[in-house]
Amino acid sequence: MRSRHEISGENLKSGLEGHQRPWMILFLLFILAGGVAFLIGVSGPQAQRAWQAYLVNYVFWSGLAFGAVVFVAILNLTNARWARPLKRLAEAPAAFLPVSFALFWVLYFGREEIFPWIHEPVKGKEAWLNVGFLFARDGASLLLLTAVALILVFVSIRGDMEVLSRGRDSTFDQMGGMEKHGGIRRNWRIQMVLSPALGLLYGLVLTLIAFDLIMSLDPHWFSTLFGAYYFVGSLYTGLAALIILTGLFRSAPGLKSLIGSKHFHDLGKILFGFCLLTGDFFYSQFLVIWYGNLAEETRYVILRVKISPWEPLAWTVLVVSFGIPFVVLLSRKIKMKPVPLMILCGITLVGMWLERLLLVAPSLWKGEQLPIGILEILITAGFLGLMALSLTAFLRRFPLVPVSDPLFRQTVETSRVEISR
Amino acid sequence: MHSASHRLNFDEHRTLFDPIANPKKGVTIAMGILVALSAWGALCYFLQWRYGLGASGLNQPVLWGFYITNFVFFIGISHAGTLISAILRMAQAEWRRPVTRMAEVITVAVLFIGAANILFDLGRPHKVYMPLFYGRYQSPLLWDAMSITSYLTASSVFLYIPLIPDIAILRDRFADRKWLHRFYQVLSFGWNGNPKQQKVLNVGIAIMSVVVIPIAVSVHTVISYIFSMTVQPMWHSTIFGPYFVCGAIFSGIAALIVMMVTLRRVYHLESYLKPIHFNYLGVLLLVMSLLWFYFTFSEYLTGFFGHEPSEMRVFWSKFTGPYAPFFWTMVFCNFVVPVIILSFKKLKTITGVLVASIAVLIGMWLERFTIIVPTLANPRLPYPSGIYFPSWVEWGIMLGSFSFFVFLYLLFSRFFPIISIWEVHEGKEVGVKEVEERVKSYLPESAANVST
Repeated sequence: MRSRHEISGENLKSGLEGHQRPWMILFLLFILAGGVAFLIGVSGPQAQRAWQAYLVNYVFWSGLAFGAVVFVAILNLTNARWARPLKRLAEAPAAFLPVSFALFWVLYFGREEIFPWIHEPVKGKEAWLNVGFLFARDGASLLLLTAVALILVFVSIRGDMEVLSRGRDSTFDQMGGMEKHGGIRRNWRIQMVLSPALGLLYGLVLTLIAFDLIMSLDPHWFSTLFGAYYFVGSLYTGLAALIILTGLFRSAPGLKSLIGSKHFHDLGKILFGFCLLTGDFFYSQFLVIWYGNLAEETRYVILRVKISPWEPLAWTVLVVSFGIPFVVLLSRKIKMKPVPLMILCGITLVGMWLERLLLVAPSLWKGEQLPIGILEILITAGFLGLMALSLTAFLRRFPLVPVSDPLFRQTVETSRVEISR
Repeated sequence: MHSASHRLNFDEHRTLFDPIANPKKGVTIAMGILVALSAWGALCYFLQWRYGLGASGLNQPVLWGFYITNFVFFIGISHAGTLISAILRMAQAEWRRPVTRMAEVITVAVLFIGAANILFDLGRPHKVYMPLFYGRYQSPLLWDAMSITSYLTASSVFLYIPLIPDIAILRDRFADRKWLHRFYQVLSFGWNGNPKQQKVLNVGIAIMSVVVIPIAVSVHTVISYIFSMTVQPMWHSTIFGPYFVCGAIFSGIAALIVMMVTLRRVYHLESYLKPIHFNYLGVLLLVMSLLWFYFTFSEYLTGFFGHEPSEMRVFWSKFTGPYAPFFWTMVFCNFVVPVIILSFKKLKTITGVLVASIAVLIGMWLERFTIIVPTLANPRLPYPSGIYFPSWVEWGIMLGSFSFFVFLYLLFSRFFPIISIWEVHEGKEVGVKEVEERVKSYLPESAANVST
C-alpha cells in the first residue's frame, strides 16, 4: 500500500526537494561563462566562429525542447497509459521554450556573419532569402509553436494545481472523484485539441527552421527530406533527454513507486525506433545524392564526408549518434537498466550535437582545423546551463506527476483493482 | 492452449465458418463476374503480346504509364497487410485480433498482381528471367526484384503461420467432407495445439513480425529508388524513400478498410468488426493523411525553392498545366476529404471512414500517376516533350488486374476463415489475463506485492 500513500498532496507539491541551490548556482555559472565567452567571441576576430557555435547550439537545444514537448502530445493522442508517470518530465523542457524564443532574436545581430546570401544574393531566390522576411516568418512561426506548446503544458499543470489546492494534505485516494470536476474535464479536452495541433505545427515549423537556419547557409544546395530529417532528429534528442531526466528522477518521492524497469525498457525501444528512423532519413538523402552525382548536390556531401577537417567528424557522428545506440539498444538487458541507458543517451546527445555542428559549420567555417575548442565548449555550457536552470525552475514549482490527468488516474486506479483482490 | 479445436465451440463462431460451409450464391456470382473481367484483361494482354507495346498508349518519351502506376500502387497497398498486422502484433494491441488476417491476405494477393504489372510493361516479356543471369547490381530495378521477392516470401510465411491453427480447426469442423478434410489435413501440418506446438507458433509469429517490418519498409524505399536514382526532374528527390513508404501505408490502410467494410456486410461480421475497429483505423488513416500532406508539401516547396529550370517545367505542368486536374484531385482526395471526415466525431462513422478510404485509394492512384507521367513527358534532356493517352488495351488490363485481386481475395475467403478464429478465441481467454499482467508490470512494485 506504500505507493498510494506516497502519492499524497505533500509529496506532490513540487518535483524537487531541498538542496537545489548549489546546483542552481552552478548552472548560473555555466550561463555566465557561456555568455562571457560568446560576447568576447563575437566582438573579437573570430566573430563568425562564435556565431556559428551559437547557431549550432540554438538548433540543437531548441529542437530538443520542442521534441520533448511533442512527445507529450504523442502520448496524449495515443492514449498511452504506460508512460503517464513521465508526462510531467517530458513537459519540463517546455520551460526552455520562452528562453529559446528570446535566443532566436539574438541571431538577428549576427545575421551578417551567419547568412552568406546577404553578401552574395542568389539570383531568383531573393524573395525567399532576405533578412526581413526570414526573421518575420521564422519569428512568427516560432511564436505560434512556442505558444501552443506552452498553453498545452499550462493547461495540463493547471488541472494538477487545482486538484492539489483542494486536497493539499490528502492522499491520492481522497483526491479521487475530483476528475469528475468540470474544470478538469475541460482541461483534458483542451489538451486533446491542442495535441494534434502541436504535432502538425511542430512538423511544419521545424521544417521551416531547418530550411532557413541550416539549409540556407549553403543557398544553392537543397534536399527535400531535410526538414523531416531535422524534426525526426529533434524528437530523437528530445527522447534521449527525457530518458536522462527519467533516470535522474526515478527515485524522487512522487515517482519512486511509479517507474520501473519496464518503463525504461519501453523508452529504450522507442529510442531504438527513432535511432533507426533518423538513420533511415540520413541514408535516404545520402544514397540519392551519391547515386545521382549532380554537381550542385554532391558538393555539400563531399565537403562533409571527404574533405579534411570534416571527414573524421562525419565518421564520428555516424558511429556515435547511430552506430553505438543501434548496437547497444539491441540488448534487452541494457534497455531495462536506468544507468547504462542514461549513459547511452548522453553519448547519443553528444553525437547529435556533433551532427548539428556538421550540418551547420562546414558551410561557414573556412579554417584548417575543426572548430571545436574552448569557445564552443563554453558556449555549449552556457546553453546547457540555460536548459538545466529552466528545468530546475519548472520542476521546483510544479508537481512531478500529472495527478489530474485522467489516464494517469486510470493507471493508478487499475493498481487498486489488483490490491483489492 | 491444448488442442485449440477441442475446446472451441463451433457454433459460437458459426458466422466465420459460414462462407466455407454454406457459400452464398451472391459471392459465387460475383466471383464469376470477376473471372470474366480478369479474362478480358488477359485477352487484352494477349493482344499486346501479339502486336507488341504498340497496342498500348506507351511511346517515347512516356514509356511508363498505367502499368508502372499500377505496379507502384499495388505494391503500396500490400503494405496494408503485413506492416499493419506486424506492428499491431508487436505493440500487442488487443484490438488487432479480428483485423490481422484480412490485412495479411491483401498483401499476398496484391503482390502477385503488382509484380505482374511489371511484366505487362515489358516489350519482350519472354526475356524476363535475363536479369537473373546478366543483372547489373548497381541497377535499382534489380534491387527491386530482390526486395519484392523477399517480401513476397516473408509475407506468405507471415500469412501462413498464424493460419495453421485455423486450418486445424477447419479440418476438425469439416471431418465429414472427404476432399475438403484431406485438403485441410495436409495444410495443417498435424497441428493439434499441444503446448509445444503453441510455443513454437508464438515464437514464429513473434520473429516474423519483427523480420517483416524492415523488409516492408525496404520494399517501398527501394521502389522509390527506381525513380530517385535517376536524375530526372522531380524524381531525383531525397524525400522519395520515406514519401513512398508513407504513401504505401496510407493507401494500404484505406484498402484494408474498404475490404473490411465490404466483407463485414457480405459475411455479416458485425459482431467481430465493431465500430471501434473502424474508429481506430480511421485515426491511423488521419495520421497518415497528415504525414502524406507534409511530405507532399515538403517535396514541392523544396522543389520550388531549388528553382531548377527543368524541375520547374514539371512542377508547373502539375500545378497549372495539363496534369493539374489529376494533381488537384489527388490533393483533394488524399488530404481534404479524409481530414474533414476523420476530424469530426459525427462524420467518423463506418460509412464516413469508408468514403474517406475510397477517396484515399483514388487519390493515391493519382499520386503514383502524377509522379510517373509528368516527369517522363518533360525529361531533363531536350527531347521533344510528349503526351500520354492510355489505349483501351491498358484500360482492359487495369480492369483485369483489379478484378483479379478481388477475385483472389474472395477465393481465399471461400476456403479459409477471413477472421482468425483461434486468435479471437485466445483474445477472450488469454488476452484479458495478459493485458492485466502487462498493466501490473507497469505498476509500482509494492502494489503488485500486496495483491499476492
